[in-house]
Order: sequence, then structure tokens, then C-alpha cells
Amino acid sequence: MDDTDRAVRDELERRLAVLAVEEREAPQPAFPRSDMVALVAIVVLSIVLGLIVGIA
Amino acid sequence: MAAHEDVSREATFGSLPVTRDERVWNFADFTWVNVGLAIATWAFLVGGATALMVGFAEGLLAMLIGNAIGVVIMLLASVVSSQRYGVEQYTILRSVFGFGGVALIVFTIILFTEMGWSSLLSVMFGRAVSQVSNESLGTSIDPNGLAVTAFALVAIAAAWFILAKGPLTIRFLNRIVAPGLAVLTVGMIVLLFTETSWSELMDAAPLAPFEDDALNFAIAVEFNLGVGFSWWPVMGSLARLTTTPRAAMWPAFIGLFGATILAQVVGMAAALTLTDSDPTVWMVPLGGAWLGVLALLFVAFANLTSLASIVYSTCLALRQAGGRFLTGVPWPWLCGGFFVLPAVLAFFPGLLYDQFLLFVLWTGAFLAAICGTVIADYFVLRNQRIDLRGLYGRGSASPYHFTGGFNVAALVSVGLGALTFILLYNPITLETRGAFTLLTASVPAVVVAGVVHVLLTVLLVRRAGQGGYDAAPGAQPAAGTAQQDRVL
Repeated sequence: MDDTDRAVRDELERRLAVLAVEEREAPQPAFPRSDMVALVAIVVLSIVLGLIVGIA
Repeated sequence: MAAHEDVSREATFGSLPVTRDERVWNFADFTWVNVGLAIATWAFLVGGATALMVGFAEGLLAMLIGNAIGVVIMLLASVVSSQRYGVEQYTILRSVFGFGGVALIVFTIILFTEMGWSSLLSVMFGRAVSQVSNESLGTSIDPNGLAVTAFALVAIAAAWFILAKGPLTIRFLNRIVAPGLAVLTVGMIVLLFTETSWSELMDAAPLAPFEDDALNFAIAVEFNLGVGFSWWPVMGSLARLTTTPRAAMWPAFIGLFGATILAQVVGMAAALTLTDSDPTVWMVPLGGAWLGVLALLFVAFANLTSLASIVYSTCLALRQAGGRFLTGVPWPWLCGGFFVLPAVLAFFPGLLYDQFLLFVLWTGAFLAAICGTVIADYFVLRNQRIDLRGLYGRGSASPYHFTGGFNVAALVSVGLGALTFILLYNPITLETRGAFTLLTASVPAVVVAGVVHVLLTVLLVRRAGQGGYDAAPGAQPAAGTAQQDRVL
């Protein structure tokens, strides 16, 4: 293991430790369900619009 | 910090997760980042290529439909997981494809896609400068002539020089180019609508359509889907710096959907009314001798920064995916190696530039399949949970080692998704199946890739105990000595 590898490993460990504390204190939320519904609605509406125009 | 140290640091430490202090982009910040990214010179090319198939009204609908679907699917496959875990996307993709699988994707699909875009931008630079010369010096340079090749090579050399200076130079140039392109786009909208009536625009015929109107519309939608997918290689790495899921998703959608369409509409309207899809051709007739030449010069300059930005992010991905082999290669040599194929393609200026539509369709076939696979993996199979530490483990110690570093199920899913695309619409022979006019090819490719990935994973990978699918870890596993030992 050279110096760069060791520096990267140390930095990774430091970051994982910080992130573990951050996560315990305030968990990073999953993607909001309401936003997912809105995005799926955009896709579905676009597909329906495309079908209508395509058929017409 | 010297430029080479700056690059080296980003290449070495850039794949590590960011802490919350380092997440600097809120909703407004990330909106501007995406607007700047979206209003690029290729948006004019996209508008022009759409005008080949359809008129203004159908083209606008095709852009709205294609970009809406493509951008949403692309963002779900890139932004969401990178934002949650603060990890750039090629590292997070290890949970989908395995370490070797990511390298395979990066060194094939991503490399050739970005080389293609680089070639396009360098030729666009060459043609823009040639047009300036033709207008102001009275020369008559052919759009496929050797002079265009020479200018394209100059663009590549200049982009390489900018890259060698490091990311700070690119950021500095982008601060000039992004607002400049926004002003240019608004200026062209004003010029277009003062010189062309609404009825003229609506009545303008497409430039090179097929006989079947439904097929023309489907190809225009498919093309714009491909444009939406084409942002995938860069989005995850940007989104990791945002503060919340909403600050990542919606600004990206506003920028890549809203701002892109604005610039594309300008390109389409100009192409339809001036009967040429090439923005380097229609800018002078649109803007007049002085304004047109100035606009072309700015477009040429903007292409240099776009070129440098694309190659910078791609070379970083190559370096991270290439492991020890590429870590030792000096940054200027790596960037120089990337430019070899675009430089060769510069000798055939029309090869990709005049076949822009087909290029986007080809890349869209694979990117759509990748997006379908990634969405199925992250949302369906992992329920949005990834073992952060496992992303950095090596060998069989990582849950994402799969089979020898490759998740065969995910790679097969991408292959079958792309095959579905080609069966529905073959970009080489232009042969289409009946279903293409209603379903397009990208949407089925996304669905097939996703469904196949879920099936193969449930039936084979999970049963083999690979991939950490059963572990359902929390976002942050506790750090411990045994876990530390397996990292890197």
C-alpha cells in the first residue's frame, strides 16, 4: 500500500465516521413519495399525450 | 493549489462520499447549475434535427413529450441515489453492475458516447469558424472541407489545453459562457419572432420527413427521449452536492427540461424558417452579417468550454473506473488519449454531425436500458437502501462483488433492453416495427431492462446470496474493525 492508498483509506474512514454520526442525528430521507407520484404522473401524462397525438 | 494537484485530488478523492458540510447547493443554486448546463450549443442542433422530421407544432409536442419522459427517467436513475448517499454515480453504480461491470459500462458505452459528443462539438466549432471566415473574409470553405477539419483539430487542441489547466479554468470559462448563451438564446427568440410571423412558423414544412406522418412524429419523440437520456453520464456527480432530495430533483428537471426546450425551440424555429438544420448555417441569415458572425464566434467559443467540460467529467470517470492502471497515467496524457478518436473523426466532418439524429438514437438505446436497470435495482430491489461501506470494499469482502466483480444479471438486462430498442427501431437500417409509432423504442427498452433485471436478480442473484439484496442495510452501517479491514 503506497502513501496515496493510505491517504484515501484514512480519508474514507474519516468520512464514513462523520456520515455515521450525521445519519444517527438526522437520517437522510428517502425520496419523497409525493414527489415520486408527481414524476410518475408527468411520465404517464406525456405517454398518454404522445399516444393521442400519434394516433391522431 | 496547482492545476495538476487540483485534478489529482479530485480524481483520487472525488469518489469518496461527501459530508453534509460539503453539500453546498440548495434549490436555487442547483437550478442555476442546471440552467447553465442545459443551455448549450447542442440544444440548437437538437432543435434543427427535430425540424428534419416534423413541423413546429408537432416538433414542440415531440420535444415536450420526449424530454419530459427522458429527463424524468434519467433523473430517477442518477440523481436520487447520489443525492441520498452523497456519492458520485459511477461509485454508486457498483451496487448495480459490480466493480468490473461499472468499468465495462464506462469503457464502452460512456466512453464512445462522450467521444461522439466531443467529435460533434469540435466539428461544430470548425463549421462555425468556417462560416465566420466565409462571411467576413469572403472565403468559400466547404462544410466538409479540410479547413473544417483543421479548425476542429484546433478546437480539440484548445480544449486539451484548457483541460490541462484544470477544473478551475473550466469553471471560470463556464461562468462567461452560460449567461452568454442565455442572452444569445433570448436574442435569437426576439429576432425570430420579429422577422417571422406565427402563421409562417406554423405552416413551415419539415425539412426531410418520411412519408408517414405518424412515423415522423414517433422518430421526433424518440430523438428527444434520447436527448433527455443523454444527460445521464454527468447528473449523479452533480447531485451529490445538493442539500435535500427536492433540491436535487426539481432544479434538475427545471433546467434540463425547461431551459433545454427553450433553446431547442429556437433551433427548430430557425431551421424551419431558414430551411437548414445546421445552426452554423442559419445564424448569419438570422442575425445579419454582424450579429450573425458575433453569434457564431460565441458559439465556437462556447463549444470549447462544453468540450472541455464533457472530457473532464469523462476522464475523471475513466480514471476512477480504471483503477491502478489509469491512476498512474498523467492527467494530460489521459485527456490526450481520449481525444485520439475525436481527432480522427474530425477528418470526416459530416460523419457524425450530419447524422446527429442517428447518433443520439444509438446512444439513447443503451442509456435507456441502463436507466431501466438502475431504477429497478435501486427502487424495486433495494428499496432505496445501499451499503455505503460496501461501495468501497474490494474483492469478495464487498457485497457488490457479485461474480468476479460483474453483476451478470444487470449487464444482461442492459443488453436485452438495448436489443428491444433495436428490434423496434433499427437506427442503421431505419427499419421500424408497428409498435414503434405508438410506444417508441426507448420506453419499452426501459421497461424490458427493468423487468428482466428484477426477474434475474430474484431468480438467480438473490438465491446465490450475491449483491447484498437480502441485507437491506441502514444508510450507515456502524464502523468497526472488521469492516475497516475490508475497505479498499
